[in-house]
Amino acid sequence: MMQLSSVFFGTAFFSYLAATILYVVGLTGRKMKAQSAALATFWTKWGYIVVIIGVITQALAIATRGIYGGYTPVSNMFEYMSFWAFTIMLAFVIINAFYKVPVLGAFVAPIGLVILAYASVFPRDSKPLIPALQSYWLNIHVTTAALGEGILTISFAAGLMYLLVTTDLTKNSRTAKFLEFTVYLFFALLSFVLTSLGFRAAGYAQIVSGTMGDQLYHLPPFIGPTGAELGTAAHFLGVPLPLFDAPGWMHAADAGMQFNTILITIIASLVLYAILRLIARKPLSMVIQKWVSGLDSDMLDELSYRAIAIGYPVFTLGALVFAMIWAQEAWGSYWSWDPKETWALITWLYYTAYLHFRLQRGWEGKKTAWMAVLGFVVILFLLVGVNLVISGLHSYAKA
Amino acid sequence: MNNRKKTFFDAIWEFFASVKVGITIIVLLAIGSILGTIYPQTNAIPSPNPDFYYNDTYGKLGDLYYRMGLADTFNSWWYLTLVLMLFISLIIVSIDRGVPLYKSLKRQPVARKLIAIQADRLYTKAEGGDAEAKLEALAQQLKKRRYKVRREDGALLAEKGRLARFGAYVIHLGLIITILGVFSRLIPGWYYTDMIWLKEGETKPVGNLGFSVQNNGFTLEFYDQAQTRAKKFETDAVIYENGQATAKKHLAVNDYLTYKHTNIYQNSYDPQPMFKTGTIELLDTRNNNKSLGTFVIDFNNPQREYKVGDYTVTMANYFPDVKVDPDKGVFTNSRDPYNPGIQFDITGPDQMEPARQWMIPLAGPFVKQMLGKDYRFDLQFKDVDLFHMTGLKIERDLGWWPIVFPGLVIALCGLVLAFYFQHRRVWARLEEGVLHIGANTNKHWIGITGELNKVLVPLGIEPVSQKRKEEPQQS
Amino acid sequence: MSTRSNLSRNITILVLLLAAIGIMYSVFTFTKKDPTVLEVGQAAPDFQLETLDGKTVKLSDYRGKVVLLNFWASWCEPCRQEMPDIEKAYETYKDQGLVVLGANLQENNVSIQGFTDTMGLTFPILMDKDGKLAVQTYKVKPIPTSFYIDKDGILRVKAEQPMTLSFIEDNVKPLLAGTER
Repeated sequence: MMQLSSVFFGTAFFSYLAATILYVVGLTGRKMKAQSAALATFWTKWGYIVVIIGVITQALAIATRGIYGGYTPVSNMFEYMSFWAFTIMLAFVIINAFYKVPVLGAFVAPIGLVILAYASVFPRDSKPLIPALQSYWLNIHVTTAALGEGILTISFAAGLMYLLVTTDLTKNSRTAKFLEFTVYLFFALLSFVLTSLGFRAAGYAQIVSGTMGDQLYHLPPFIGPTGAELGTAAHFLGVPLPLFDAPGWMHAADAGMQFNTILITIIASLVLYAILRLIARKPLSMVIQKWVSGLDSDMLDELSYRAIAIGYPVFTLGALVFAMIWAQEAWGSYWSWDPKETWALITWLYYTAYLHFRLQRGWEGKKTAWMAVLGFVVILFLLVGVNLVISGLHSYAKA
Repeated sequence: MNNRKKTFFDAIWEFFASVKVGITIIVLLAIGSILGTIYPQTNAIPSPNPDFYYNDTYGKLGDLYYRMGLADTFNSWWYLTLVLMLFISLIIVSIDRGVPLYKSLKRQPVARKLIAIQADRLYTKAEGGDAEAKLEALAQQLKKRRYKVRREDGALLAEKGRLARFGAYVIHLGLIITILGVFSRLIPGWYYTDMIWLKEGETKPVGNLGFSVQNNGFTLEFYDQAQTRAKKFETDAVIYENGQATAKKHLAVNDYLTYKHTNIYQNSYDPQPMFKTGTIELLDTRNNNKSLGTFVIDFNNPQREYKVGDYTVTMANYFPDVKVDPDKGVFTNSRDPYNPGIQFDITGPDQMEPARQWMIPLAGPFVKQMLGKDYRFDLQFKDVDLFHMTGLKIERDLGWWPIVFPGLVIALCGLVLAFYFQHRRVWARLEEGVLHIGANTNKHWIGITGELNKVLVPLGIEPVSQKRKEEPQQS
Repeated sequence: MSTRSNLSRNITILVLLLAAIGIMYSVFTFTKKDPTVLEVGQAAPDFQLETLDGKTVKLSDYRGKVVLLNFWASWCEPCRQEMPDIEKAYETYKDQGLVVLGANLQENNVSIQGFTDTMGLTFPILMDKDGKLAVQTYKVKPIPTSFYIDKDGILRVKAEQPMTLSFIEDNVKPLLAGTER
């Protein structure tokens, strides 16, 4: 069952990859020659079909994993993040059926792909549930919340497209810079996934001893744990490592390791970005802008808002109301200001503010598009940041 | 407003009714909540001493965080003030806008001004002699589509989903009720929370709620041999009131007992086991380790003296949680028998002078060496019974079912109304032989356009299409 | 706007503000958990408890004597530190009318017996088995905590730290002499 699940999982992964390529080719093709417009539609049409195949196989992957483990597989970081990728693609499939914006796929498919790849950085084994999670509320609460987050992610994609359509990137505006930065962040996430998976595939492991104990590094230890002896732990490309140690005030045994991961991600992403930039010979946002040029900006604005209007109630139900009911059932206290639930509230307040700005203050276009884009960062922090940076009652979900 | 001077009350009303203020409160609450998640709050730290904990664990920044009161953000005066302002704002906003909306929708005339109809985002007209018949047919068709149709001569108003317009206020109402439910905890007797740690067989009173809980046995199971991942932990709990057992339940995580509106939850357990009882065999080292008999110690409540055959074993010193320190000597870390250390005096027929010797079952080699060996007797466990303390959470929150929960349900209904339902209105007016038809919705224009055209086209009326927002509205 | 709706609006505002203030007030009185402590100058609460030797002791029986009531446990390091000094003070001043009562917090008899034997303690040990005396009657927060009770049964000094012999003498002498009043 577990192997079957892995096969389905891999199929879904490659479907999303194929869909990304189909969409991007379809979009760049559309702009190249006027007469190839029909061909472009052909590409994007197939892109949509491949996404549907991916969603179905991932559903099968989740189902088989669930049968193997005997529970709905949403209990650890790998399971949850891949489920989120699933809801994003599912939300896209449904919304595209109504709104018919194939270009959206060129944005959503890579996002789903990278999140799915990011999920596989975490340990993939299926562990039986600890008592606190042995409740049918786990399924109800987590799946609904993930669905809401998936729909809200669509709003991010549409908002980003809106900004690309409406911004004149040739002028050196603040919006242009932020857009380029957003594109960079995407590649930063990609580089993190690539370096982590790459070194893991190569079987890289290095123990570095610090004053707070030994740490097992899966990446070259440029930064050692506090108190590690410099230059003695390992060599990477001829450089003796670590180059320096985590400062003592960080007060955590794994601070050096986390710091190290961030540093490597930044270096790798800058390298990746520089290469792409050299190939493109212009800001990457301008490359992407070409795909979306000519799209109806009002439609994108409306789409971004509609995704929030649909996703907000689902999120409220799943991430807050069901969470409260379960907490009342399991711990006797529907609210305990645990960081995860506090961040769910922050996310909810954020989108509440969005809706009031939009519906009551008449914000439209650029302002709300930026809010939708930033909303994705808030969701990302809720799902990943809280687990890695802050931990609380939900800490069992940590990796 | 009339030209009366603004009173204090007007100013407050306008303040809380303002959208700007409302959004500001929401944003401030979000920022405040973020501050409250930077470091763990005082209720979540594994130390009873926050004065030192933040400095020790997170350094100077942590200390500053604690000193600024952010370690207890969600009970701080300013956070509470924000919540209360949100509460007032929700009520005033809903009255300020909900009531006039209700009145205006109730009083809306059937015959709308022609220019207003023509200015609608969806507008069409039908000319020709049979306009009257078309109006009649339109009314019939809209009725079939569940519109409430009102007629005056030559005029029509069809409407459905009016409640959707109040969706936002229903959400507000739900939130108001929820917040009230949260504050219902302040009513004396409505809220009680406590954590009770029970050894096996132990009974403890629950605050002053008038009953006690007994741990009648605790079971713990793991998935793996190494005991790293708990499978289940469960307590046989018995409730005593006035010396009588009045309720009992096998408590498990996610499966609680309700007694007199108070819920008792299996919350956690002490991962470190304690000694309960032990059967100890006394062996004579001078006689080939011959067994001299056994005795049983209750580690929570031991006796001082035990008779073993002709021998008397006296517990001269008993350290339930022994620590042997080269500098500070031998002492106990707590009163609970996690790691018992006993100093025995043993006398018998062939041992008039008490033989003093240690028994520390969990002692490491270092301690064993320090305490000496070559004892006159040997003491061996024949049987030992360990147990884990069970952690039960006691919660009484009378506001949850009758107030908070319905509040949440109402808010959810409001969300559905506000986001998934639409208020659609169609006006028609027959004037000088021309049938003017205008339509309006509060959202989802594609839906109403499609619906209307399904009605209009069979009637031979030109279909409506959305006017672009940017286009200047016709007048 | 009509006067009537103005009135109802004003009443709404008034009610809401009062409710807010009320909630605010009750939250802050509610969260202050039982702030009561025993103040110096008030009468020492009377109690009756069994000692380690199985005798029954009642505080009011010691009227006319100076009582040093010390709350301790053997797992508490500062308690272990101050014990020899308390014993010394007891031996020195017991003939002048000093009574020392060592109230032990919820430990088992065998452990306490072993502890007093090792330390050579001669003053009576009170067995506060359920912790009621410490927690409810004397509202003790940290241990060791010591109370000095004068000849009339009034609390004179409360010490929430390990005591030295000189500290005990400084407090006991004036009480024995009765000059404090």
